[in-house]
Amino acid sequence: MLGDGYSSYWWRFFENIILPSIWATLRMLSASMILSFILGFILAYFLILYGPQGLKPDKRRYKILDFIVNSVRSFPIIILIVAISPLTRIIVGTSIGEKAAIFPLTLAAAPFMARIIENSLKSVDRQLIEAARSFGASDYQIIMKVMVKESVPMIVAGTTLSTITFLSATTMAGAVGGGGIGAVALNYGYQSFNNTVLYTSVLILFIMVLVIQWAGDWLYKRMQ
Amino acid sequence: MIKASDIIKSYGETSVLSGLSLDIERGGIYGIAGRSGAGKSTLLRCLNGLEGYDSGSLIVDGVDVKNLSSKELRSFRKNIGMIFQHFSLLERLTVYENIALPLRCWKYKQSYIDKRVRELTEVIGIPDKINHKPRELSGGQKQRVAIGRALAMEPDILLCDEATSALDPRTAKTIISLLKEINSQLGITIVFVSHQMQVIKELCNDMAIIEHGRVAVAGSVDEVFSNQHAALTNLTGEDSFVTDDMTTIKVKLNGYDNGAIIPGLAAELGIDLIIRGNKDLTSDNLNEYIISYSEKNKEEVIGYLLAHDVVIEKYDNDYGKKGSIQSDAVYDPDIIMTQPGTV
Repeated sequence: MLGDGYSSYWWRFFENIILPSIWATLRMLSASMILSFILGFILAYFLILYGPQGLKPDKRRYKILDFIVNSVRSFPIIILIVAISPLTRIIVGTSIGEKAAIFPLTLAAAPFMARIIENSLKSVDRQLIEAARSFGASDYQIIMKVMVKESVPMIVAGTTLSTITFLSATTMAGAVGGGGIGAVALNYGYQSFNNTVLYTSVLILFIMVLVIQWAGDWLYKRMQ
Repeated sequence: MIKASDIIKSYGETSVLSGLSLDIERGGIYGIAGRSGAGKSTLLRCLNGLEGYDSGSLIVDGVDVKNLSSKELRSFRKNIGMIFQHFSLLERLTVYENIALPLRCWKYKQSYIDKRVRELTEVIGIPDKINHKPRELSGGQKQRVAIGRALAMEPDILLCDEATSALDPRTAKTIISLLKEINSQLGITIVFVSHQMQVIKELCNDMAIIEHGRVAVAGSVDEVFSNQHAALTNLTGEDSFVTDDMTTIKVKLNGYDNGAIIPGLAAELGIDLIIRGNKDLTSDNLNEYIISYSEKNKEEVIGYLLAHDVVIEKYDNDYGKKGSIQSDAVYDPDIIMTQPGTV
């Protein structure tokens, strides 16, 4: 049924349109995940430090951080990308394409990562923190050498989860000029009535999710 | 070495310590007993500044804890090791790394850390487990690692917060002898908080019982136990293990040296018993014991006792149940037997 004609047709789309977009998506995803991890980690550090059960409780500072995290998280990603596009243009120079999508994706993912890391750190036994205190560890050492150390597997699992969440976010970025496989599926697939491109993209996203989950699980097991 | 006077602390409306005064001498093992919520753990945390207090003064090693800045407090804590009920080890680190952690936090050289950790694993008696992770160790071994970590900074004082409460009696016993060793060989003052009276009796030289945030009675362990202060009976009454299916009998020993009969009872038969000495020492019935045993062990117990020529009397079965007062409950005959004259 699907003869040589179809497979060369498929390959033409795959090679010229889909394959480059896979790399674009991977670049977008990895850049925004790395940046948001760093930002989220810094946020989580201070959330843990100033939190009500924290090492150095500070209601005012915690409330400010908490408010920032919550308000950014309350934006649906697609709205956030559009809403901050003027800011994106100032910082990145353009509001269209792969690079422009990294900025809003990072901004959206950072509070998400912050919560994930904060919750992982919170799960560390209080008595263990007391023990670290009792031998004179500083707050910085308690967070870095005890809490982070103990919760690495949870942080890995959480990062896997958010990487998958933000893989779908990159496809939404595609809807508003973001580039990547989401943009290809929408523009070359859905809007061009090309089911070959649409469903190939869906399949590739599906495989990406599987691979990310598998890699995350593997790392989680190794870290335990 | 440690002098607490009139310490008051409360969490909001709840008062935890209400005018607590205590004197702990250098070089001894000091037991602090009390029910949960009596304030003993809070007191312990005040000693190394993990928690502050509202008023009063607490002088540890010549330093008033309250006057320390947070930086001074950190180096002050180097001098005070602490161990906990649930060991509080880092599950993802090896024994080596757990013990090395305080040294790393204080930025010691790797060569010194290496030497010190190896020394410590010898002290705590598990040099062969050095590269194991805590989840591969037994409870007793974990507590040993925690002790090793607490000793890493060569402290003068070791604080123990219910350090044997999560261990079975046999393991608890080995930890007790390790602590004794540490006290006598390294000269470290030990402050041992526990609700287990038997452990305190076995381990400590001096003790205090805390009730409602105050010291109810303090003195040498022998004094406290032989004076049978109300605080002690309150506390041990709480420890009652007598259950409904147990029968309680009173046993009178004939003759003099029968010291071995009752301890032998549990050891020989290998069953769980509750054995109490006579609580009224002023009477001349020093050879009386009160024994509670499970119905299923009745024949063995009675058979054993009859074979050893004792007089058995029926006894009030409600004796020793929760709420009533008893002198002493020994639930693991292996640890310590209550003997007449020492109760």
